[in-house]
Amino acid sequence: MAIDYSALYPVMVMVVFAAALPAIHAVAKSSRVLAGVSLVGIFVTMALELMYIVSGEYPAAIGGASVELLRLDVFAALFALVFLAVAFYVVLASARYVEKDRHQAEYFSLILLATAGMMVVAMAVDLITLFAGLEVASISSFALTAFRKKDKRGAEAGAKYYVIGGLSSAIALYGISLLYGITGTTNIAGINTVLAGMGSELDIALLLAIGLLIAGFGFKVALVPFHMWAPDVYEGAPDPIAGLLAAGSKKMGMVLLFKVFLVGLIAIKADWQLLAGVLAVLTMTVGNVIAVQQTNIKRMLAYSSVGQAGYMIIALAVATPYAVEGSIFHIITHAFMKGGAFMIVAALAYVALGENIANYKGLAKRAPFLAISMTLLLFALAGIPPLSGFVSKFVLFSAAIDASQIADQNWMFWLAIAAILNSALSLYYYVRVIKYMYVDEGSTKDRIKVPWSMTAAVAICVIATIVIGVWPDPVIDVCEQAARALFAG
Amino acid sequence: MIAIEYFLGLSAILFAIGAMGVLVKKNAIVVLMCIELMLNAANINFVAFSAYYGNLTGQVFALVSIAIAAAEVAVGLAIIMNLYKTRDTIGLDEVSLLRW
Amino acid sequence: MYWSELAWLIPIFPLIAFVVIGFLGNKLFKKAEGGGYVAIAMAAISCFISLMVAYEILSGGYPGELFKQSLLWINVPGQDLSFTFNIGIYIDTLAALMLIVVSFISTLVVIYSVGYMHEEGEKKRRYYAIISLFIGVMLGLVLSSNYLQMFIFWELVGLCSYLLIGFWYTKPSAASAAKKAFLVTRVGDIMFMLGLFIFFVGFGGNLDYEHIFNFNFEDFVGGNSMLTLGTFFIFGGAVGKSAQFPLHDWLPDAMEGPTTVSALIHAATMVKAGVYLVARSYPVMVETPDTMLIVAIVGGITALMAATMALNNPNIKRVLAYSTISQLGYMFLALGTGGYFFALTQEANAGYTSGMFHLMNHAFFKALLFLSAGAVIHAVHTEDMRLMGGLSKKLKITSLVMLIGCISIAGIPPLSGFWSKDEILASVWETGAENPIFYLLYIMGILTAFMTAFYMFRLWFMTFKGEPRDHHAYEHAHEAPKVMWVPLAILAVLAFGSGFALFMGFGEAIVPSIEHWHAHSEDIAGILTTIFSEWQTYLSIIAAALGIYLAYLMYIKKSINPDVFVATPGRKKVYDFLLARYGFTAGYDWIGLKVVYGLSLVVDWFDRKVIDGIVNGFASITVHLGNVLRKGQTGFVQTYAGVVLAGLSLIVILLFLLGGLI
Repeated sequence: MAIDYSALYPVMVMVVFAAALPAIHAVAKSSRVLAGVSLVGIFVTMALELMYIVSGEYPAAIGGASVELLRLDVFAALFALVFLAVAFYVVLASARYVEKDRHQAEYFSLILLATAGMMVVAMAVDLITLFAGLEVASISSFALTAFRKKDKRGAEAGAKYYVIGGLSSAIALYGISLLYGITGTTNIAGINTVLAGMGSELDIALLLAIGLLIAGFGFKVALVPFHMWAPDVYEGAPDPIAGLLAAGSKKMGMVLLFKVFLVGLIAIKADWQLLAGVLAVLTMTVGNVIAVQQTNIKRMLAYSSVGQAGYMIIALAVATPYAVEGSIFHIITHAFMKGGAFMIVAALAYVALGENIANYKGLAKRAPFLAISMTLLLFALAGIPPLSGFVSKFVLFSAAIDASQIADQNWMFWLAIAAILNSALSLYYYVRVIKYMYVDEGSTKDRIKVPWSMTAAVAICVIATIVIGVWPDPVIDVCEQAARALFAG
Repeated sequence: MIAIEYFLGLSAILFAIGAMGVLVKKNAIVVLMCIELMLNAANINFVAFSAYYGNLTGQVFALVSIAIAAAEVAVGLAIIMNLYKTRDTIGLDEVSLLRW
Repeated sequence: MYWSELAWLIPIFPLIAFVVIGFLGNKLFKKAEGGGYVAIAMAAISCFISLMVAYEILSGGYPGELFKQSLLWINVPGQDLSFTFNIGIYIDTLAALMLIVVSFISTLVVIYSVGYMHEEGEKKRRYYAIISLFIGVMLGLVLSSNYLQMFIFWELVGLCSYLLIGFWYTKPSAASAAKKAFLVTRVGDIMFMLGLFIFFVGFGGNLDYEHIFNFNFEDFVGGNSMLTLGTFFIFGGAVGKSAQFPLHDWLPDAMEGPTTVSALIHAATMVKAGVYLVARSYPVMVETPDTMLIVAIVGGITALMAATMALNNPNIKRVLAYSTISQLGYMFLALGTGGYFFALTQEANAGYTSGMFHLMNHAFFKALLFLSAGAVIHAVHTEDMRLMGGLSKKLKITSLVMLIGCISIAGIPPLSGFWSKDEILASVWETGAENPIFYLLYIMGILTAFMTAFYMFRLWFMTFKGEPRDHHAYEHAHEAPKVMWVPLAILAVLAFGSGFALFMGFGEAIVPSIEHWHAHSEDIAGILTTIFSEWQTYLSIIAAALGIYLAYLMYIKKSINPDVFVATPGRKKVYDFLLARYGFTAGYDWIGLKVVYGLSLVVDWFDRKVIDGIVNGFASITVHLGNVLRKGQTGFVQTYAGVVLAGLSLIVILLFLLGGLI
């Protein structure tokens, strides 16, 4: 029986382009050409995925008749689009960023491969494909982090990322093995069916598996207390790659958690819901509190990312389609807000402006576009209307309040309260950057010239942030479909 | 036939040894090996459960994870090499440039 | 293909002008009147589309006589929190009427500005940018399909008026007038907002007009008393915006802006927004007769009070400002009367129609009056009528068109003001049968008509007749350039003739979107017979004629010396009392300086010591906590690994605890 591989076409396009890049590098030794080719690949893939979403018709799932491995549905397509969009502006910003580095072809090739891995994760309906996709993305990003081989910080960041990443993979794999041991299957929906049939009896191995999975996948999301690698790695990694990690890789972690917990373990959600709630509050609080003290802008953004992850985890604690809708929506908006902020940092680092927040003093005069973009993105992150961050937080938090009206779930109300208080706290350190840029005088008033490709990458993020904020409904609509698709299994 | 509990015990011990090693060993290569130990502890579980249930899923998973681990080690060794080149050390207690 | 489908372009064009002039103006339009021509072109295009759309809707060219278009903006489908916001366009006959008035007058004002603002230099760019924005947001307000969208534009209109009133912001009086306009209207805006909250909850989380107007009011959450409160607050918003008693005091001060801005604010934009809001909300408002009664009473009081203040003011623009307040009072009186009558009898009288009719007529003659006053000021460089006089020799066209405006506003047939004012007063009298208080309002209306005629002709006589009182100004006076008097001439024709719309089916066309509202439909002869067979008509004409005659006696024939009104200390007191605007300005200041300031001191102390203390405490705790947690980030990867494993253990222990296994 011939297998219909059409669900894999988008991934295949990415892989083909990734493989072609080194060959092209042999002919044209220019980072711009390589970036251009990568952009074409990403663009074609985006068009494919968009076609699926718009038409509403998806190819057949890959795998045996009884056991599916990969399925392209609206959830997968939507997340693939998010990852691709992130890859798109990362590549765009990198076009000039790596122009003086060696191994440029491998750099772009790895970005495409990491994205392909994330897309596989979004499609996976079996733990095997899930784990394989996760590792493809992880290994690519390890290498990308240590891409600048002469850079002491880059090397250190790569080593740290690798050690913690490897450890987490091992923990997650052990959790998966236990889950397999309990249920006898690795199909995610199948696991749920078996667990639902087992009744409410508690099992030590099952709880252990839950713990291991949260720890193993929580690493990707930078869930407290598995977050400590994140600031170091973001700081040490090349700036566009930090954006990729914060906006892409982290979202893949959310997909992992959604798939495993909301599909595979939803039958026993009573066991882990409260834990997820505790982790959500812990994550957002620790992230935001430490961010207040940061002097390096990348570390600040990293900790703010940790805080944002806390908001997204609310969906796990609430575990309703409405909350997941909000969370997916926030993932999308965050991909642009945080990614855009990192792209600005990358652009300024390219012109050798330091990463210390104090270096941004008087930026409004030196680079008005970047300053206003940064302001908008930071306001969006803080959740100021009418920017996208406000709407997505609003949907997410109101989902928690909505769910808290059911008896026995009243504690969810406090999730929303904690999240709102944290948002207020986060405003403090965001506004500090804005104050430096606009109020304080810089040591120099020289205009900063930034390559247009970086400006374009920033502009994409800013426009997306404003447009989604002003007219969120189409996006919310797709998020709702995606959430339903997820819960349909 | 050996009871499943023995395999599980073995894998748990391996996992614990690996985890301990990651925490206390200074040498990055050794830490890398310890991570491999942990991965293989999981693989033992897969194979054992596969035999227990009589389906092949676990073995497939083990094979896939071995392949992935190989790739991971390749990248890992390269990263450690690179660390050695730039910092003249592979002692994980000597790299703390990025902190706070 | 209908013109109405292009309606969304109407506000877009002026907004394009705003962006182009505002952001690129200094580079592009150094010589070209600071972008004035761009503003004119954009306003003219949107005026053209507006007129086409309005014609289509009013002539029934669009099927259903109602154009709706909407995009889902935000939709939250929760269990108890579900709500929907749309962005859309809603054009019924009312909106169509407003489109004509707003876009047409705005366009003329912008054209006129090219002459009037000619000497402003660099500032012109700012002027044209903001005035384009002003026009755009006002058109957006008219076209809105729901209250939230309307509120957004409502606030933008307020912002624009603030910027324009304070156009000469270096002048302290202009700056403070702008602030006053902003703050006083803000009181109304807050009420509007409260009203929207009540509506939002009451109408089930949807503020679309379509949803609300077709709502079964029995199902209103909170019952009819809550609905009354809601409509009352909505009216409160209109009171602020339309400068009604007791929030009327900002409008005379707003004369600090350029005269063109005053014309725009008074005739086309800002203050008309309030009337439009009440007219727009009519299907809801008629459910609450109490609110309608309040609307009528506030309108009546405002009409009379503002008219008295205009009697002795020497400033030409201020007189016009008071007259606007007074005329707006008429409109609210009309709307309140019509709604009250409908609420009690379920039958329509002419209140609503005549109110909207007056809105249209007033727009034309008030724009005319302001722009001619602008021409006068342009000529003599003063706003004080005591320094004018005899100008009709120099400003022939201006004096003629202004005379048309004065006759029209005074209510002398057959000019436009007569028809609408007469209809208003007739419907007020008719409602008196339901509630005697309307007889009182009728008397107030007649008194107002008398005073209106008096002060308008006082203005005209003092400006254009008699001997020049300031010869220096008189010598330098000159007729306005063509770009200014052509718009004046167009407006004069409209001020003369817009009343005849009554015979072209105005009464049947402009009806609120209420199902069982039956408009009177009569032929021309029928209308004329109805009007001229009632004694009320003659009473209002006589009142107007008396007013004009009194002004003639005092300022032309001088058989009555105006000084008699200040001859005795008692009379002088009344005179000063009127000049001091019944003490409202002082009252506002007292509230502002004593009450609010005193309260602020207390709040400030509380805020500094208690609130800030708590906040600072939290802040320093946070900062310290951040520092401690930060130090945990040692930089050693094995520490992190340790934390990961410790965290894993804790999570497992927590899971066991929650599962009750330990």
